[in-house]
Amino acid sequence: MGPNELLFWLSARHAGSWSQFRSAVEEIMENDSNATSSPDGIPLYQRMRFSLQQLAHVEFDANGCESGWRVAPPVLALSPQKGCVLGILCGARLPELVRTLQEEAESVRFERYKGPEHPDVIRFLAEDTGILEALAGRIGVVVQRHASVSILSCLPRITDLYGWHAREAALPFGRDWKVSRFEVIRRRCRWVDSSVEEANKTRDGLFRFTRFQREHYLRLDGRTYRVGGQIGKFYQVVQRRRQLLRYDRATRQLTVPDICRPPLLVDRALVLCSGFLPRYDSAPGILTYKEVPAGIAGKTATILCQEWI
Amino acid sequence: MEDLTYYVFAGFALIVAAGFAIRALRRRKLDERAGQPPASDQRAPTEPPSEADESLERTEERPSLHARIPSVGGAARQGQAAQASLAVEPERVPSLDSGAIEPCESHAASTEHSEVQPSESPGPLDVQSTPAASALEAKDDKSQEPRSSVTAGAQLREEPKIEMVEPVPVRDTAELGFTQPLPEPVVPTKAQTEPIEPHPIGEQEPTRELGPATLHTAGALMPPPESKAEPTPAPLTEQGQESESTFGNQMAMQAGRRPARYRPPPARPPGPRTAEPRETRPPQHGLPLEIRLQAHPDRHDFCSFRLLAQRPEGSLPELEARGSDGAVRLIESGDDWYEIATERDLSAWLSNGIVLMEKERGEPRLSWQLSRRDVHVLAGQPGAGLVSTTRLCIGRKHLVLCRASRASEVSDVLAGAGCGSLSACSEEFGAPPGWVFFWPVIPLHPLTPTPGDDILNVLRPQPELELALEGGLWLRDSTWLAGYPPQIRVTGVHPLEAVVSIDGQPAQKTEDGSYISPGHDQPGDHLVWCAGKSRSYSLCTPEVPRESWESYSFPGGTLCGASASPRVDVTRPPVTVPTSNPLLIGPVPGQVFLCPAGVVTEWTGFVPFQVAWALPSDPLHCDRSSCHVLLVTQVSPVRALPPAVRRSAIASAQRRWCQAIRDCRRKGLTATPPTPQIEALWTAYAAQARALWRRLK
Repeated sequence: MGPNELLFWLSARHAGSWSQFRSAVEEIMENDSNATSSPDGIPLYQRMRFSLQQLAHVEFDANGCESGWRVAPPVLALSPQKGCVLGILCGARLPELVRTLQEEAESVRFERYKGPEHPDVIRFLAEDTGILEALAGRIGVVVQRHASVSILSCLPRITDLYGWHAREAALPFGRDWKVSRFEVIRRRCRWVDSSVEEANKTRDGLFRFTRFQREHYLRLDGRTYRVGGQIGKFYQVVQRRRQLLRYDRATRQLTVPDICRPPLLVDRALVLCSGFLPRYDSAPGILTYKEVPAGIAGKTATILCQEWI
Repeated sequence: MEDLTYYVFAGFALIVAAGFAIRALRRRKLDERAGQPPASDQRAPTEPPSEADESLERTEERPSLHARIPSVGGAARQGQAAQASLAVEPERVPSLDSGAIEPCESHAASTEHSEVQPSESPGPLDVQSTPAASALEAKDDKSQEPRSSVTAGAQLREEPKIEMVEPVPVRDTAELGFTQPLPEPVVPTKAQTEPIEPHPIGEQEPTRELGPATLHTAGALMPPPESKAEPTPAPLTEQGQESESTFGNQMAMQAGRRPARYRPPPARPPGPRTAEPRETRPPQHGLPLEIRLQAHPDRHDFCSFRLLAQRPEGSLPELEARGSDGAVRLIESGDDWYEIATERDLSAWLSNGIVLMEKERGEPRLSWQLSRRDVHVLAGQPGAGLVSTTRLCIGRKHLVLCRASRASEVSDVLAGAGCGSLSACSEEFGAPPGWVFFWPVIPLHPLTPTPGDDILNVLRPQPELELALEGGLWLRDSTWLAGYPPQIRVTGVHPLEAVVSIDGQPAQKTEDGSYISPGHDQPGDHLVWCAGKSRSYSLCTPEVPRESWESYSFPGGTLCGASASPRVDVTRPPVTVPTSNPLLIGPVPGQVFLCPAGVVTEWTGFVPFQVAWALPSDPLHCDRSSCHVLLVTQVSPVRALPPAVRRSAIASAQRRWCQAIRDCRRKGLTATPPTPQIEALWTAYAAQARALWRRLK
């Protein structure tokens, strides 16, 4: 069994705790021969969690599922492509639903791509939006038009920390913490070892505190804000006026350094352009999003405050 | 002759009394049906008893014991049982309402017919419990029947000669075996004069020094824990039987028999029990909880180990516990287990054992224990993976972790069990230092355990037959997801003649050793049976969640999975324009939208109106050769009048709309695509802007 069965299990259970998810990954994907070993030691359950989030199947530690997970309702996310409309099946999925979809999708092009560490990407291609909407109506799946644009339209700019729910907090203390500082040097970003003392003394900077989990704290003018890791990174990048996004109009590919992966919801919007997770090139450390329209790339750059790409 | 006359007269009197009693009984029944207190309850305690009263009590099985008060008194202690007989002067019946027991007289052998105290007579406090009554309950060995609370009256009524009771002749005390009874007034003891406090039914009252039995408010006679009353010969009747004495209870106690406990009739008729909501079981305290070893072998033969601590229901998701070498954190791992989060060496804990105590002040606290052992056997369990189990089972897949020093012994035993030649995996495969593991271990033969407490006996499988459900997509309890049923396996020694059946149909064994039958993987309940053992499982097709919720909320909108609800108007499709033309105008004067600046090639987004043209943000300072007016939607301009208030927001927007068009015209920018139709449309917009601009001046 593999990621598909994991998504079936999650869809059947609807919601649960993080430990349940972790146990399920370890048990269901125990003998999955397609699962690859992580190059940076990230456990399989974390990689599965992230791919499920990116593909908009499951929400983790969000509103309504704090400290746990909850499966999103099944949605056919539509995105306009060159000369056609692309529909991607997201959210909860059970064998019966997939079977029905496959049977009903006679008038559209049905594509199913397997991946090592994510559920199958199920895509529908049709000439018209109405065809996909009719298909979704027959199987009782909600349609989200212009999914990527709609998601990006909800998001504030990266410099709007309060909009991203950053909150002022005190730095952790104690000796058990492993502290790292985010460093932006020209076009390179990296984490360097630091200490609680340095974090307290620094007026501006991003620090990562690790004990059992990772917590990120952004220091701004001597004040401390607890932020998401990607939010803090891009905030630092914007402050240093570094440009990280690259967009190739010909190939419609958007690239970004892997250490500065976009925030989850921006990431999700970019993934829903094609239904495929970004390709990771380990040598240069680059993530490449495929089939990203120029307008979506531009809107992404706007949110991430990247002035040119 | 005089005697005959006397008896006839007495009989006539009894018949008349019985007639009155029957009338009273009928009236009482009518009162009870009408929900009124029976009239007899209002009867004076001195009212003569009647047989009808007794029969009523018998039919209702009321535990009334008729307040044979003299028995409480000293008569019993004085051994006047033989004389007590059945005769009690009703007028002398003391009331226990006040808690005091007045002396009464016992007229032994002076009564010529039995008089029975009516059950209603005691008054508000229905004193039904007397040693005498208890004696009647326990009088007869044969009477130790379920209805042991039969009343004294009922016992008396059983005597058909109640009308003509022969006076018990006083026999010589020498014959009776105790001293001559004297009709002296009974002097109650201190304990007897104390008020009787109500006591919860079913709860034993502290023993009073009343003698061998104590009073119970519910009418039950509770024997003292240790009755040390001296044995006294039971009073005998002429027939050599025990007399129906009011002291019978004492006799019974002395005979070593305990009176049956009074059980009141149910207040309500027994009905179907309603299912009560299941209460959350409180955390178990006191006994140490279990610690199990969990293993995660991967496809590269590498295995990671960790410890799981049992999680009581209702306990916190995370706990801190203290061990002998410091504190550890317990983090929930599934519904029933904690993972012991520690970076310490697992081998030390496995070698020495561990006791963890919840790190909280106050009692009670949870504790966990893992005893030291040289061999650990792990097997798969639904929802938990490979975890510690008791022993090897034939046909099941196990992982065996043992000390490296005993690897050869373990290997030999496993080979004897038909596991084949297994190589020990050491630290380089993830085993704790000093330990090795064998994986996968599938025993095929039973082995006889060696005498004694050899730890290797856990590796010697026993021939018990078991039905195992493995694999599949387990959801909860015995429910699996339809389409992913469990594999049905029979472990242990399978008798040749035993047939495995699924839902009553003979099952077939597949190549991988599991059993299948037609329909075993269909949704519904299924039952597996083999050699007298059965196991059930269900396959369900759950509903996918349809409810959307706001998993992320931002000022610009809310998100849930791939669904997004931006706060802007999304009824129109998003607009994609080059960032060189970020100023968007609509057909209605005042419809102006400026795309975010600083974006490179294109921008896509929702605009709150239908976009007609995309203009450069600063037409007057752009390059005429490269900048154009871009048509987005071919729509004619709408004529509009300026607002009445010149400095309103509408007027300002209209001015801006006009200014943008007029600046493009002034710069001489051409419309794109360059067709006459588009150019004419652009000209119409320019004319509309010029006209409105004049009015706005």
